[in-house]
Amino acid sequence: MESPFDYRWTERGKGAPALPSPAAGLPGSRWPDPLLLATIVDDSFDALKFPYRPVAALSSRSGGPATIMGGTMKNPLDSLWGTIICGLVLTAILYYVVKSIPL
Amino acid sequence: MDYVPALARWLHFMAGVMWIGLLYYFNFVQVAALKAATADGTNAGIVKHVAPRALLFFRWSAVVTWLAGAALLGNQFVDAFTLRHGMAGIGVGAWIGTIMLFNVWALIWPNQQKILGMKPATDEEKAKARRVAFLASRTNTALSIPLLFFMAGGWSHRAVFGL
Repeated sequence: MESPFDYRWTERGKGAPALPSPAAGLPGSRWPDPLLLATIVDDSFDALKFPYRPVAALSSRSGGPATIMGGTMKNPLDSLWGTIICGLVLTAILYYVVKSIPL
Repeated sequence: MDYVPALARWLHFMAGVMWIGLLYYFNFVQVAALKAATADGTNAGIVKHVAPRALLFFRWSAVVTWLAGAALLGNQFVDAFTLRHGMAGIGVGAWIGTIMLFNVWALIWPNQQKILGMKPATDEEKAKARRVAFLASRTNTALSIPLLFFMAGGWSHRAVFGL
């Protein structure tokens, strides 16, 4: 049986067969597909080339904006507030990393 | 022998203020100013006189900051970069500073040379260079936040933060 995730690595054009929703996640899992979540960091996407946008964003390098669930994702570093929030989040993450390292 | 770390700390602070100060100038002031100046055709002065000077002090203050920081770490340099013997906090700061120095010399400066016309480049190459330099600069701005936390409060007030 074909894996529901094989399409990730295949470029499909318009008119390709309908794909299973990655939002459904792994069979039997209540969690969304982690690769779907990963698309939020990818800012390259060709909307016309792929029938399924979030997954397509993983393999496209065409330079367009990333989309997820039909919406456009922006790079947080394009705005000053996004940059500051990234820095604060990174500070919090690194703080707990350093705290977990034994003296 | 105490003169070396004392002078290194002083130099580290002065050069660091210049480096991060110019980084914040680029990100909080110049990017928006240049956009507005380009729109009304008054950007030539910034591009010709301000940006090259700011970049000169920016990239060399980055080097001085790193070298003074390395001198300040002294024989704890290896412990800091390997995050051992209670040096994890300052070590993370040192790693972030090193990544930022790399961004300055390997990404920001070579691409700014193309943007400012110091190196020959086509319009397409300039557009790409503009994006790479911008994102590298914004990355450094984001990294400066944890950098200053670990370099300043995270080190001198380790007990307060439980580090």
